[in-house]
Amino acid sequence: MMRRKAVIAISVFLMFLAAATEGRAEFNVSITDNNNYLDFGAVKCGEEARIALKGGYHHAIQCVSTNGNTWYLKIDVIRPFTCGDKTIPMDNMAVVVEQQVSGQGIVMYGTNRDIPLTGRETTIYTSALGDNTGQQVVLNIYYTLKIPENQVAGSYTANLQYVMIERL
Amino acid sequence: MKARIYFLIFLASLLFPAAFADQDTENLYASVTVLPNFSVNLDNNLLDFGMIQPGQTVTLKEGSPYNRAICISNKGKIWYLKLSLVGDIIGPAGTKIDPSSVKWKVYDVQGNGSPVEGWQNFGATPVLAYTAGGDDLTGREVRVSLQYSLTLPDKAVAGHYVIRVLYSLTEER
Repeated sequence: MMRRKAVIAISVFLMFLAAATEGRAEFNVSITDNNNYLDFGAVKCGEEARIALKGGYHHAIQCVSTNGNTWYLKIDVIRPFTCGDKTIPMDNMAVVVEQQVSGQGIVMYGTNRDIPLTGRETTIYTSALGDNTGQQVVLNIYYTLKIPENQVAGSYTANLQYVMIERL
Repeated sequence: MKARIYFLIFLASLLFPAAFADQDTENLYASVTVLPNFSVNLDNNLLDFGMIQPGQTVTLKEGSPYNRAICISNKGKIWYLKLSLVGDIIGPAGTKIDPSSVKWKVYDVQGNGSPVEGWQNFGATPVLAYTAGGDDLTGREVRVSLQYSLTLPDKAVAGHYVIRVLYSLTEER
């Protein structure tokens, strides 16, 4: 009976300790100015639209981690561009890191190179040692979207998500 | 028993951190308007039958298409190509002949729709030449090749005859 109570007490103490430690840890991704909307405007078939309003980029993605682990910044296609039953294949959209303002990690394909959204999840950035101890990583990003030649006219919308995660 | 399970879960979280990896997300919303394209163009719009004698029939470029109507629509709806004669058939010194003297025919089609078969007369209203189908509705270029023929009536004046044709792309049958 005593042994059982001791195990419960130790478990509870360790969980509190873990919770308290986690409370102090920082692990978050944010978008500057809460600018979470990508409006590519009105585009003709076969043409490419680019969103880069802030002098070369659209918004900055900021990531902070104090966990000490390698992390990855990915972009996740929750719902592709859709208009009724018509879709625009998502590999027509690309994320471009215009500038790596801070951070020691690796931008996929390097800066100013298209990172096409070829699958459900696309890795944008892999952190390095110095990125895992609280230094803010800032990436200036713009987006391109090419409308295929044979795309039905209409208003399309898509949902995407930046995911900062410690698992590849 | 429960206590041991809690303890084991906690230990597992320490030993296998990947299974309990940290994660944070930010949502993005995107929109684009794909503009409609609805057009018809011709590669040759001169319908000149040249010198023709009463009773004679002239087919422009006989045995091959004379011109092509190049149609594009990405509006996702069935469309129709129609032909109509504009004004009169003008001959020498302003003489006119009956519109039934001119016929047209769809020679061949690069598209997935249905052409009207055989020689046709022009009517008082635009006449159907082609009904779009399949991926004709999603922006592919559809080429409808056409032929034209003029038979000069016996009582008409010999001379040089020219016609003007209007090619209409419409979503109304």
